[in-house]
Amino acid sequence: MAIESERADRLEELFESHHGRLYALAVRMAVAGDDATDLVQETFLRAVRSRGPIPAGDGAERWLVQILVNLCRDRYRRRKYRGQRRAELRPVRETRSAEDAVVARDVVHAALAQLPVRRRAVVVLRELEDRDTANIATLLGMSAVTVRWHLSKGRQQLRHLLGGEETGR
Amino acid sequence: MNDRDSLRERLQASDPYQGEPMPAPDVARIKTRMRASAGDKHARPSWIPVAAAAAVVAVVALGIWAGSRSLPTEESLAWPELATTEGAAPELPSEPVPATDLPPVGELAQLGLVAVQPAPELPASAESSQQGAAPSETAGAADLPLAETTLAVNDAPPAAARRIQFTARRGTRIVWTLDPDFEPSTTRNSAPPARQQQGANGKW
Repeated sequence: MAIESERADRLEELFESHHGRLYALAVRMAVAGDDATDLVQETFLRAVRSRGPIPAGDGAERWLVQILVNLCRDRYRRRKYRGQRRAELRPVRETRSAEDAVVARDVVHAALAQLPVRRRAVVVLRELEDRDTANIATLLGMSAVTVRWHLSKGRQQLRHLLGGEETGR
Repeated sequence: MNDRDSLRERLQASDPYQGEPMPAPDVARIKTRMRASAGDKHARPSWIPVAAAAAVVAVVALGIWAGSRSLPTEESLAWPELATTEGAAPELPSEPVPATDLPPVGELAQLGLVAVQPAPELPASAESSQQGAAPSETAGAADLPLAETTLAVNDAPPAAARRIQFTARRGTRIVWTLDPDFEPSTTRNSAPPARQQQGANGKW
């Protein structure tokens, strides 16, 4: 019982220290119909229900990020967003007003949602969170080569989706 | 500025996350749910649902097994109805009929119910079989004179017919009536024991 209590305290500490960062990642990873708050909540609930040991130090962040990405993958597969979101995309080349900015943000969000989840995570961590390749590889549990491949493919897809400057090869 | 930088710039300019923190009510709600979920783990160990499911399965299996194995009671089994169908042997009285209840052969002869004839001389084997056991209805009864048969019945009161019954799968009820006068020497010529089957729905 004492062990379980310690585990609950540890998870609460993790929540306090990581929920802001995970919320940012969830907002960027979320697709239409997903609530970033729900994603964060489900991530921590999965962490509570898990039976394995809680990683210490940087491993805790990696653990939580991987739970969040896997959760997004589950939802992505279940709802098949790729087909639903494609029709909503429309290119916006420049932003002139606040309204246009909102529209542009929605378009970028929709374009990110078109990417496969792991590729989306790589692009978000690299382009929006400015993490280096080694850090992304550690966080997502993949090799640096795979990260670079996903990054290259993701950039191609995004260019194609956002403006058509360069078609995906 | 190459394509990579322009794309990054565009993504960062239209970043879906605008730096807003998670709403405080949501933070409190998630904390509450985490505590509740951890409390559930304390209150309900993981083996309890498994054990409950196993117990339910065991009870259901036991019920099915008991239902398939239960024998019909005498009240529920309408035996006379069974016994009178397809020429089956009628039920014999449960207690042997005392010899004094039977009228003497002489009286029956006076009433014209039986015809008394002098008994022919039997071979030694026939005499020994008469002394050993009561003759059956199916073996040798037609060869013996009526008087001899009557006397033999008086000497050896009939035993109660024994029934063996059980319920097979799908409710098929199988009833055997054992011949009380069964003798090993008469098995070849005698009729097989009456066997009756009745389905659970009462249809034959």
